[in-house]
Amino acid sequence: MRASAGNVNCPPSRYEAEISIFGPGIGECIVIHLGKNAWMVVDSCLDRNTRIPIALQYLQALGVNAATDVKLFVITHWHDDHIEGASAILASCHNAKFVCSDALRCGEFVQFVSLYSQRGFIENSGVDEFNRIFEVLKSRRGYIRPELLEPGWAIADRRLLYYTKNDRPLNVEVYSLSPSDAAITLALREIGQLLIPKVKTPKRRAIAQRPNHVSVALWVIVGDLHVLLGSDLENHPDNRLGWQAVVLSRNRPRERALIIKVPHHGSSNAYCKEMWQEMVATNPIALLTPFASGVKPLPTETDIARISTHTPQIYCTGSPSGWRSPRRDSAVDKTIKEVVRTRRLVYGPMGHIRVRIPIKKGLDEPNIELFNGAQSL
Amino acid sequence: MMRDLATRFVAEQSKEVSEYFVDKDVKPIKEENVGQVSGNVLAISTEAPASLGLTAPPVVILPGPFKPRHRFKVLQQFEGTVLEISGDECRAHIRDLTRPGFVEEITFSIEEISESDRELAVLGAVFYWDIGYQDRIDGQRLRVSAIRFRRIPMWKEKDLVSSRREAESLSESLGWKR
Repeated sequence: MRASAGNVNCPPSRYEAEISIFGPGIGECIVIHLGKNAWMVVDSCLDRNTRIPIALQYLQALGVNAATDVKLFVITHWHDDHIEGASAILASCHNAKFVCSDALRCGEFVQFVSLYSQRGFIENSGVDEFNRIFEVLKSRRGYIRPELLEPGWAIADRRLLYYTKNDRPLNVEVYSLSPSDAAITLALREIGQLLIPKVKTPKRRAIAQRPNHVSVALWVIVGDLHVLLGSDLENHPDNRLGWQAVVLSRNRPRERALIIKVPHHGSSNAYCKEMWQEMVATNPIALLTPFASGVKPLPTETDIARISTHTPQIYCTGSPSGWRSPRRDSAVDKTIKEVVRTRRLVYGPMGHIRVRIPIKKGLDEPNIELFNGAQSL
Repeated sequence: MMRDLATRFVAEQSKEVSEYFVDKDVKPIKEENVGQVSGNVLAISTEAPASLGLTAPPVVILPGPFKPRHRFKVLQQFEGTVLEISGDECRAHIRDLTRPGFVEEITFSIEEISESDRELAVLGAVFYWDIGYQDRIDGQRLRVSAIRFRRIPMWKEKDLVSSRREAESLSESLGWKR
């Protein structure tokens, strides 16, 4: 199957599923066409030039009315790289159910957000964004349907969206595969302990702690097309947590996914052999976003080699090795070289991979398009 | 006469200042601003205080001796956030404040941080990194890198109590609770 690049602003037909994944180096966003002009958005990142959430920008370019046509908006976890611009999406999509991890449904998380974002002493993008989400949720009263007022809570094996054949040309279902019950119990204990600061400790930015067991992995069904969105869910030695819990669940969808958004940028921490063997079709289309931060940018060459044992079709929204830093005044560059040991730019172009598949009768050959620096690995 | 003298003196001083400090940000002192200048010139008064009804010649306080200082010309500024401290190394994100839009990840030795700031270098700590030229009083120019950590107050009990209260009310209004 060859990847090509057509007109990025050409909308899909009513009977064509689309999975568009965006990644600028840090951050990712997924936009999915569920058929018949119904859309869902997973996570958010900003176009660095326009400062507009890429999902809204893309949908507008396609001529989609985000206010009415986006039916579901899922935030997989609260980390900065998955949430930037989420409040703007929520404010624009009046017809969308907002869903986030059930592990965040606790007073301690609300206190954490309130504590870090309302004191105005320092910028905390992920936390600030969540605070704006709270504001939007409060302000939505009065102009959206009552059933959309309260957030939906993602937990393992919960159906988040369901259109029967009568509503659509084909069944549309969206399931959350995680977090598991055990992950939620653990998270509720950890949020209070790790995120709420102790008295007489210095104020500082809220930095996301790893590992991530409460991220929301999703299973999307559009007719015969099954898609696994791995989010940033990682492994854990305890098989009640992370990917092992998903694989071992008796209640998850039993089909195999033709398309997989590889979890956590392809890192070894999120690699679960059983997931690839039991939940994904032979030679699936593997989609990745890079993560240019960290000791080693992801995916590493080893990560790519490991994924390629499962499929030859691997596509990444950007350079897995990050981007070269910009050139500055020669005296500045000279000083930076003397001071730093390693250095790289963490935001690159907004790479975009688009997969479209006709869904009217069975599954046709998918059309894969790469835009703005996205590449086949 | 005395006013002229004082004016000329200030003009000479400001000429000296503007010649010494080539930094474009230093503005020469204008003659019409005599009496308002600050810095090395202490104070100048050419009028006797009328309120005292004195007829004596005006008191002139001559400017103090010229005290040259080091000047720092900033070429580049970053705002950084510590992501990890591992051994003698600090990993951080730096945001370009001079040309906004660029975010880089760097690693550097802890040795680059002054000893007084080193204890502030913890996960999530914010620092500023200035790169520039220091023009010394002896005429030498040095290329300088200065990393300063932001000193932020500690968390107080009242912060936690009030945030807990806010959270309770917010959770209630949003339905964000179990």
